[in-house]
Parts: sequence; structure tokens; C-alpha cells
Amino acid sequence: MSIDLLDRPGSSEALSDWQWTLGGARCGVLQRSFRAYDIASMSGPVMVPFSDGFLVFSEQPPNWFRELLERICALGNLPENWDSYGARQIDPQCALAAVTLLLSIMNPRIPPPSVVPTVRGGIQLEWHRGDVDLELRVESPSRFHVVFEDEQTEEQWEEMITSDLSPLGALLERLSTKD
Amino acid sequence: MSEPLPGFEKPPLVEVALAVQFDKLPTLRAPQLGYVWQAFRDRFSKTEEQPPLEPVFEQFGLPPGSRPGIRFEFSVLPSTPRLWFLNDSGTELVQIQQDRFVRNWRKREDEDEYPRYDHLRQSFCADFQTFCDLVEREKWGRIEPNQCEVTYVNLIPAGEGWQTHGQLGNVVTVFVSRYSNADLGEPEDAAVNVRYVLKDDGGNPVGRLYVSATPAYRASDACPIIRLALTARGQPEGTGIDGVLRFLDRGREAIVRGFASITTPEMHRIWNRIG
Repeated sequence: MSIDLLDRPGSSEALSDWQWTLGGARCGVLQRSFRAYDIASMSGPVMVPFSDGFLVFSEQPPNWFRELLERICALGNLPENWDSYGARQIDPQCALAAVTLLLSIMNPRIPPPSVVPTVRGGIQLEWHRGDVDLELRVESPSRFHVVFEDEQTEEQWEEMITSDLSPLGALLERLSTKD
Repeated sequence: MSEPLPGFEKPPLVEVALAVQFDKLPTLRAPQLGYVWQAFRDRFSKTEEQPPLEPVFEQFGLPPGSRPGIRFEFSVLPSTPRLWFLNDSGTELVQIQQDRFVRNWRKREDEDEYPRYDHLRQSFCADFQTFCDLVEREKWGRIEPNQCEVTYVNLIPAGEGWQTHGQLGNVVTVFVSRYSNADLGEPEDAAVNVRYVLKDDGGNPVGRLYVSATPAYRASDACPIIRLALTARGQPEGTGIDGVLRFLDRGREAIVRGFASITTPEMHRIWNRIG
């Protein structure tokens, strides 16, 4: 999948850049009047409804990810106080972070997680496979709380991950080998 | 990095930005931003509206090329703008949006001198604290920094060490115009993008340094220029403003050393390198 806005080299727009020009047209602001397209039908930018807005993909998500994406986007329909004990609506930024993370670390060999809303507006992804349990709570776009347990090897591991996501890849690979 | 930082008497520096990104404050909308301006209005009497910047996070440990391009857009609510607060001369800026605070210096006239990092750092610190105090007082949420960014922008005009955009190798060391034969001739223009991983004292990745050299033209007289921008971005190294400043200091050092490393000795002589 192409790397788009999230991977710009620098925040050039945080600079004034008033005194020079590249000599060509600059990108304008994306129009807001897009319709929501069926994610199965488009090869270009794709907009998937979530809560009051859309998750905008630079290109169509892979087919194996569709069902998982739909489950995540369904959380956007939860209202405020969805559990009748004051639970918050799901933060679109957490949904964005969850989708981005999953697309980065998952592949068709890894079983899809259960998708669970948290009362604080985050998203929890859970894998339970044989003796292995992995829970990943997306608290914000930069904070992922990970809990791992392997009953067979008696391994237990819990950590808040911020920027170094390498442990997740290894943990998910272990899941892919379990029945 | 214990050696003294390199310096230049006449650096081609035209803009410096110190920025902190934090978890979005949904309650910080246009009216609240207008109220924030009141706290800065005595020094920054002018304002401008800009579209908000997308959040950016430096992450590690992902498979190469795996970062998907996704963003979130509201369909009903208009996006809250990014507000610029400018001083009378336009050389100093404060920029604020729902998830970012930026403090800029920029060169407007030839005689404008870069006030140096320590001064800008002090200004950033004071102005960011003013913003944080206001957010806390008005109960708009809690500022949780998640990324920090330092950017230095240099504009290098033609006629000083180079004449055409194809001579990028006269300015930066990371571009070498070397060919197996003479069929292509000199490039019409060239651009370079390089990124490096920044590590903490323990060798753990904490951010990245981005370097870009781009051909451009000066707006005032269409003089060919090379825009050389260096950006260091990464997570705060600790909590609160101290954690932010620790990364900004690290980023600035990486930029200054990186600038000296990737520019040629010939350009160093033109800029009067010291140290």
C-alpha cells in the first residue's frame, strides 16, 4: 500500500515558505464533498464511514482486511454512554491508529483479532489461540498497551509501547504458528 | 556527541521551527483558539488561518514499506484551523492547532539575523508554558506530548558555489553526479531525500532526521535556489516540557552536525565555517 500523508518527511506546512516556490502547482485542500464509496469497488482513494466522518485510504485496503475493517468501523456507531455506565464514544484517532497498526503488522497468515471497545474510547484487539493470549489496547495514536501470555511456556509480558513496534511482529508470528 | 558543535558566520538559514505534537484536544476549537490569541496578542498582533496539519508519528520495527496512507476526516464538522500569531515584523510566529504547538523564527529581510537556538528555545519554552497554563485553567483537557520536531530551512542561492540546479553535488555531499559514460550530460536539476535514525544514549531509536535538498526559485527575483531542509522528529524523552526539550536539544544537535556533514567544504568556506 502506498505511503501517503502519514509519512511526509517534514512538517513543511508548519513553515511559512513564503519566499520561494517549486515552480509547479501545490496540492489544494481535499474537498469535503466526496461520497462514501464501496471499499470493494475502487482502486484509488477510498473513504470508509466511521462515526461522524471517514477513514480515508490512499488506496483500496487488501481484501483479507475487509472484514476486520468493517468490525472496527462498526464501533464508530456506538453512542456516548454505550454501556450505560458512562462509556465514551470511540475516538476516531484510536480507530485510525488501530487500522494503521494492523495494516502494518498483519498478514493473511495471522488470525484476525477480536475487536472490543473500551470505556475510555479506545479499541482493544485480542488474540486467543491455543495457549497464547495477546491483548493490544490502542489508547491513543502513540500509546499501545500490550499484554502477552503463553501458558505453555509460562511467559508473561506487559508493556506500554510508544514508538518501537518491533515486539508486536514477533508476538504475532508466534500466533500464526498456533492452532 | 561531545565535540563542539560546528558553526557558520553566514549560514543560509531562513527559518527555524520548534514544534510539539500532543494528543488531540477536541474542545480546542476556533472560539477557544481565538481566546488563546488574547494571551499572545501583546507580542503577536497579527493572525492568519491555515489548514490543520496531519499528525505524524515516528515508529520503528515495522516491515519496510508497510506504512499505509490513512487519515480521518469529519464529514459534518468543519476542521478546526491552525492559527498563526505573528509579530509586527513577521519574523516570529506561534502556531496552534488542536494537537500541535509550533514556534517559528523566519528571515524576512536581508538584515534579519537568526537569534540563535538558545533564544528560540527560551521563547518556545515560555510560550508553550503560557499555552499549557491556559489549557489547564480553562479545563480544555490535558496536554500529553507525543512527538517533538525541530526544522531548519536553508535557501542557498545560485552564484555561490553553484550555477545550475544540476550542480547539486557542489552543495551537498550526498549527491554525486557520476556516470559510466557521457551520454546524459549534466542534469537539468536534481533533488535528494535522505533519512537517518536518531538514537538515544542507550542506542535505542528515538526519532529520525530527514534531509531534503530541492531545486526551487526565489519568489522575489526568480533566482535559482536550493532549498535544504533538515527535520528531526521523535518522541519526547521523558514527561512534560522537560521531555520535550530533551528531544528538541538532541534534534537540534543532529541537525547542526548533519548540516555540516552533508554540505561540501567549498560551501563551508562561502559560509565561513567556525569550529
